[in-house]
Amino acid sequence: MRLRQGIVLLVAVLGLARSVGAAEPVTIEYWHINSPTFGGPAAKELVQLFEAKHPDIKVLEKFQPGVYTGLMQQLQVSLAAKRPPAVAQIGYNLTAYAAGQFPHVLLDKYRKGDPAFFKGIPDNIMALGVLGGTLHGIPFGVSTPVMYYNADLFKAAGLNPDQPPQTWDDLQRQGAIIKQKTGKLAVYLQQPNDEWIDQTLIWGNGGRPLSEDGKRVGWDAPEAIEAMQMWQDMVNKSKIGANLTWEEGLQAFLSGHVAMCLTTIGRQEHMRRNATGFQVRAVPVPRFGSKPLATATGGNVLMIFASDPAQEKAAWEWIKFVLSPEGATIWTRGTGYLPPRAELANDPRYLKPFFDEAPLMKAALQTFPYAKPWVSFPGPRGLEITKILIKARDEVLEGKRPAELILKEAAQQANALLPK
Amino acid sequence: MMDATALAAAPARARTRASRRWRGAVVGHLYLAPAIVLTGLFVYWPLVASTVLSFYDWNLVSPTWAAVGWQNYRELIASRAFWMSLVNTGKAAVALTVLTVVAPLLLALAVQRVGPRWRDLYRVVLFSPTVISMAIACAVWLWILHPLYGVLNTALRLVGLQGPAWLSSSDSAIWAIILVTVWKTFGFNFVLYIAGLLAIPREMYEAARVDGASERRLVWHITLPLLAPTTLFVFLSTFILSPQNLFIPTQILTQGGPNEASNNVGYLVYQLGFEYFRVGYASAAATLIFLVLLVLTALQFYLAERRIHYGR
Amino acid sequence: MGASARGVHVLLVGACLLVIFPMFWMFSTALKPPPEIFAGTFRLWPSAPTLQNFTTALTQVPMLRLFWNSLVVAVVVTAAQVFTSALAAYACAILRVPGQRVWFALFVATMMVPFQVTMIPNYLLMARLELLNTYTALMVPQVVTGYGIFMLRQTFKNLPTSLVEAGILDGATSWQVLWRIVVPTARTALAALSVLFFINTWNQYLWPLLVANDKYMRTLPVGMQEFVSLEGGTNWGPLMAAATMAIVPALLAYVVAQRYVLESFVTAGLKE
Repeated sequence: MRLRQGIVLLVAVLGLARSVGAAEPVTIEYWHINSPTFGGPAAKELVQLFEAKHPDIKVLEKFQPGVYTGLMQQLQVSLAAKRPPAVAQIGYNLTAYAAGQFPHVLLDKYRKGDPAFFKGIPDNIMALGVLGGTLHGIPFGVSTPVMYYNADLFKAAGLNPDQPPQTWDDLQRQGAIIKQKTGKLAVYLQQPNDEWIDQTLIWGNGGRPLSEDGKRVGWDAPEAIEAMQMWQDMVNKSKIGANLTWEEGLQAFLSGHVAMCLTTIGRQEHMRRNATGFQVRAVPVPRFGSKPLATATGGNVLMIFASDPAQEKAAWEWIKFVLSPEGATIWTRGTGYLPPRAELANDPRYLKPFFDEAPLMKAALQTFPYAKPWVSFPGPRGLEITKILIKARDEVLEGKRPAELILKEAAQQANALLPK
Repeated sequence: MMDATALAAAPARARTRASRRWRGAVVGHLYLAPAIVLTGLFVYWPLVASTVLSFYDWNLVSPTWAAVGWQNYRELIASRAFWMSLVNTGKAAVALTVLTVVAPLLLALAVQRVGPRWRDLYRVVLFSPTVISMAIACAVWLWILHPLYGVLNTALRLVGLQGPAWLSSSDSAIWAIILVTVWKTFGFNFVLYIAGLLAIPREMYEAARVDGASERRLVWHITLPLLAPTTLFVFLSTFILSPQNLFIPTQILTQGGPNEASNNVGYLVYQLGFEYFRVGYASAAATLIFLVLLVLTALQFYLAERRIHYGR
Repeated sequence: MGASARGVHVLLVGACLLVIFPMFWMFSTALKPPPEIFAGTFRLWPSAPTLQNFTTALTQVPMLRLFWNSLVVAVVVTAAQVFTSALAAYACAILRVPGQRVWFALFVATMMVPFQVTMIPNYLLMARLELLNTYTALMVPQVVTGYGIFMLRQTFKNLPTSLVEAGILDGATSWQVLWRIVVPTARTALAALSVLFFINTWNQYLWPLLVANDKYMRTLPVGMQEFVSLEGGTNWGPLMAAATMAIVPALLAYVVAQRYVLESFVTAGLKE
């Protein structure tokens, strides 16, 4: 009797073990904004490597249009349908919004449970994912804007390509010469579905995108108005600036129609490969006169939205992989995002060769010490505020009304939506 | 449809007639059942639900709904986007009605005068935009109106003109939408006119011609008056349907921009609900818009009735 | 040909050209190799027509799957719409159910309710029932059609009463009368209505946009927009190729059945 009971128990246990061990692969969705020209191939490479290492996890990577703002909208809709992705890239500017409005996994438990993994990521980087003392997302790469420029066009205009503009005044001066001598437009500042460059301009001119107490946006401060008016004038008055969508602007630069392009270092791989017949170089973005360099920090945190424990676990494995030295190396090489593990940049096994041979990255490294946050608008209407400011930018560039009027209106609308 | 006279002659049927009528009521309602269920579930219940939702604040995600009373309506009435949308919709409705009531009529009259094989060809061609998907048509127009590479601005460049950014300029954005909507929908009215014209008996023309009337008098005194019900229908339906027709072009071409310059009543609700995720606020907008539309339609019917009875 | 007749032709030909040009341009762009598309020069027809945009379109976006989705939805919805409209119209026009005028008014009144009012609650209902991204959600709410009931009631009313009576006297049930007598007699109108419904459902955009977000569950008009906000910026060549492929079924249906469509307008439309 005992023997039979024992056998039954053994069979049951074995059966259980087999059913657990022979589990189907867990499939997780990973949402990102990396198009084929913006890190898409690197994302796919990461997925392949990861799946090879983790045969029990399948990663479905899904591109979301409209950069971080667009992804956020899709995310909200998917949460309403109770089918969110397991893990997604949340731009730094929308981290507060997502953390405040969407159910997600808090990551402090992982931080406490795996200190070795987090060693090597500087505290100020980790801070990008911390809100109100809790870790909501893991920072996945930081980027800065840089100014790419067409060395050949500079030469053609009689300017010295080794001395590109360092201040905005300089840029406008050199830009006018380029326009006059070559007929080409001088500069394009990126106009995607976010206000990253706008915040960079505001920081650069000494303003703050959001007040310290979080109750007022900084778009109607004199520094902001001055900076945006300058942008408006470059496009409409002196006509040395282009007013195009992000992709069109990059295309115009890469096909030699625009001499300078202010956009993210994350595109450097794409720029390097696709410049048709000219040499692309990069320097930090221009300063406002004697004011110090200041830029907004681009990039995103990875947040976990899975409610199923198996998916959550798989999502965490994915995050660990893309942030591992191996994953981060692939990612940085394929984009230009600076790795959260700063030490990798000097490690000959990982990224030192890359930084040595990628001249465009120097501009980012020079900018990095001056990077300011990409300010996140608090409260449940944060997404709407972002959109109001993007629309304000579009209207400013249209040039029908002075920047001051547009920005004051937009700031008023935005302020009304901030939490009291 | 039982002819009373035919069956009255058979007295034996009286009792079966009554029971059949009773059975008929039950069975008849069974036939009506699918339509009743569908209409109730997907039109009338949502109408009520939308009104209820308008008194709450919800972002589609949070598990709680906050009751806010009339707050949404108050905010709406004070909102620039709402008034811009109403104004733009009004502008568009008028433009659409003018453009798609007169032009199709002229074309329908013209088509009447050509030989049968030409007539078929013209009809097929002129109606074809109506048949393709509005979303696909908008994608094509997005390409045509592209500020740099689109054929419209390229052609203008050839004659030395600098075409504006049609879709991102606050002056032209709403007109671009109107243009695309006209292109897409005039064929529908065109066909309605043709149908109306075909319904006019030939004899009227023959008689007038015998009396020596010229072509122009024929059109003016016979065709147009007899076409009045059609014209009225075209006019009313174009006006009433215009807000709904505007949604797709707005969503694909301009998303209401730049800065609400092309926002309209058809798009606003979608924008508020699925881009800003303020579902209660969006429902308030929908309810208000529905009421406005209802009043306008009733007014138009009333005026139209008066014209038909007293105006002719 | 008299002068005025020629003038009429000029007017019509002009209108036709204006109307046709966008579709022609779509097709022409679809056949142009990408460098020529972005060259910014005005060429009516590609110098070296190529099919590469079509192949790119088919590979970049799951076009065949989108086609299939659109087809399934359009066919099922059309059948369902014709079926429910016929039943309701039969009840109103022929069976003369008591209270049919009220029901009829309610059905037709639905045409007055703008989509904006119903879309959010319907979306929420689908979300609650966890039916998003399913064929059910795509199909069922679309079956409502005040227009179909309106048209068919007209058509059925205009049928010769003797036919129906003959059937009743023969002892046929209402169901038999419907399918053996009414439907065959009204088949032209039913066919025309089916074509209209098919085209209309095939072209639907807003509802599928809301409920079918998944790349593989979208219908054609929605799925095609992926080319617009696509990864490398709008990929115009493949977009135009996809557009060309997408309008073919609707155009075909129309060309084949255009006579029916027009006739049904004439007989049922405005004779009230």
